[in-house]
Amino acid sequence: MSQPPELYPARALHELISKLVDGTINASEHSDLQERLRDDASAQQAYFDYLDLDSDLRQMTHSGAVSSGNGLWILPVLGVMAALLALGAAIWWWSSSVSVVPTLAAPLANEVLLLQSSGGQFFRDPMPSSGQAMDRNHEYALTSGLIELRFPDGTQVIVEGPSVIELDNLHRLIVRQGTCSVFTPFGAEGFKVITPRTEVANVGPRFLVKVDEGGEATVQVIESALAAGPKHYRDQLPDRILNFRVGSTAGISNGSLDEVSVQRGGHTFHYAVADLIGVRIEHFQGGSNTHHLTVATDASVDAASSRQEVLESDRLLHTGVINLGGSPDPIDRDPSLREREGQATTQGMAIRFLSPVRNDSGPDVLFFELQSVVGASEGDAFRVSPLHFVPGLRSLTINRYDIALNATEAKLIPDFDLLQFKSNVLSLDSLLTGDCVRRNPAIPFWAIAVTIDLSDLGYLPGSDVDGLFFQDAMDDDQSVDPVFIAGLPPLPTAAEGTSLP
Amino acid sequence: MNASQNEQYEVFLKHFVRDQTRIFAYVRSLLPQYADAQDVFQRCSLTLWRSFDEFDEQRLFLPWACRIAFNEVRNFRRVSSRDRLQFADDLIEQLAEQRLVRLVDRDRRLTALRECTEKLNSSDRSLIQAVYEELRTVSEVAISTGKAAQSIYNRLSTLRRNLLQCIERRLATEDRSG
Repeated sequence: MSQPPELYPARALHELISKLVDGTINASEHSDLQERLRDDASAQQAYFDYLDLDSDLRQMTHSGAVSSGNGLWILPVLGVMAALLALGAAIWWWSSSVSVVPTLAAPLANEVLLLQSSGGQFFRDPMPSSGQAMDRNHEYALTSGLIELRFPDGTQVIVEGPSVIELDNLHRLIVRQGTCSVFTPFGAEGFKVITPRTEVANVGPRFLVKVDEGGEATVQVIESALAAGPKHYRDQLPDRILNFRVGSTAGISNGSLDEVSVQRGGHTFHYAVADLIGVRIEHFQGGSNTHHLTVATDASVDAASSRQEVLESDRLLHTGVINLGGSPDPIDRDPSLREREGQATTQGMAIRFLSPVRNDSGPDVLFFELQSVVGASEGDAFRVSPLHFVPGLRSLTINRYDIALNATEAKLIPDFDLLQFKSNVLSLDSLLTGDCVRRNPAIPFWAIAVTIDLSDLGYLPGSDVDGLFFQDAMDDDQSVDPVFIAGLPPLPTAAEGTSLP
Repeated sequence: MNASQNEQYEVFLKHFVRDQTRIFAYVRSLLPQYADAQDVFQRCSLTLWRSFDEFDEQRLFLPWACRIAFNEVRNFRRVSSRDRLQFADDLIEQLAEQRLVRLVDRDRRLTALRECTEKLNSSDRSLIQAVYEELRTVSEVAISTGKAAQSIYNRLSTLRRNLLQCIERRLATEDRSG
């Protein structure tokens, strides 16, 4: 039971200040707070103390700079002003108090770490796992994708492929070619980016460096974290599936999806598989390939119900539908799901979500594929389309998976059997009841994953989507193998996120 | 920059580096939204350097800097959205005056907070980290930890209150021990 505010004036004041700082205060509470602060020195002191605490906690956790007891102050050298004036950039001075308390984060290693990768691939170098150290004095050629690095002083750099970089020492990044977005926090003012013809330092906490093939560098200083900066500056990697976890039995992966971590609208969410929105298959047309189902090696495949389970309700990443039919061009009208007057249905697979999926910020749908070690490392390209086209909606082609075969987050999946049908599978009914023979692939397979943002299909923000159509992109002789598709739950609303009762 | 400008810049830096935390705290008192305070502080920093010719070395830097900061805050309040909830002008003036008087203790509080945070348990540290470093909302933290959002909100609120009390206790102990 809540207490009348007058019994706990200090707590009530604290709550009002907290709401003010969080931006969740309403007009009546704001007015109440004003009255409490007006002409009351002790209330004003409580207000100052709360704001100081909030500023210090923000700085502590973001600075990464650990200071001595006397404070490790930012000392912009004379070059700061000169560099700023020379660049003609608006000054972005270090923007708040400096941390004189240790960071709450884990101590920073005395190494340059790979924080994360979004489809990053190095030429001749394996991609380290997230959190692993990068080699110093070693040239890395990032051929595609993006990676995020963290230096010991807290500097974070997003490198976009294609780029050639070298970690010269713990405070210097050499960029021979390519694009880097740099964020240097308090305490990292000595960080330098060295390009073939220039040296970039002390230009502000956020800047973008682009080095062309001739070694010429362009530097753009971002005036404010909140201002609209150059569109190429990145302050974080794109929204995507970050990782997933599968269960194990006796220490060996059982292929059962347990949890997924997804970046949506810039924030990371972790979902238990039970919280995802499942699907029901409504249509299937497999094209010329006749291998269409993978099942657990000990699973029955005789009854339609067991095949249905493989298709829809299980969470095993090694069982599902494979080799979807496709079309070389994206469809731009409703797929035909039922035969009419001898006209064939559209090749591919139609699914309906068990409850509508809301088009929220960032990814809305998860798509897992199994891929062999000899398959396309970026994943099998596919198309996803609306079940019902209306003006504004379109098909989307996915050419690259968020977690591709070469990503450290890809998971080796258990052995499975492959069902080869005796004739082409032209309907869902044939898939569930058709005669087939059981085979066992001799090579290892991996689970890879990608997310789908419904906005990319033209759906309006906040709209509900009840189903989708999937096709192979027919860009090579490999067909897409979806083993798990699910919708993501709606994002918490702003009110749920910040304005709690 | 010529030699004279270099010299002047060094003098400016000496003052600014010593007082920048206090100037930011002053601005934040008048603009409680952190992002607003950051923006105004940035502008204020540049204005301070540009106006440094007018600074009288015989006087204190902090009151001079805060007067310039106050003007920057006033400009910001004038141009920011009228839809936003803002304190009345008379309260802003009161807060500005009171804050300037009490800025002296700012560094002592920082030191005390350092000692207080060292005593947090791992669960509380994780919560602070999630909210302040990862900038996750209470609901996001609730989802990832499997707890009710209200429970997270309550814990965070208690944690902030405890930290404030801890700071006060430490400052009082220091005062008693002279």
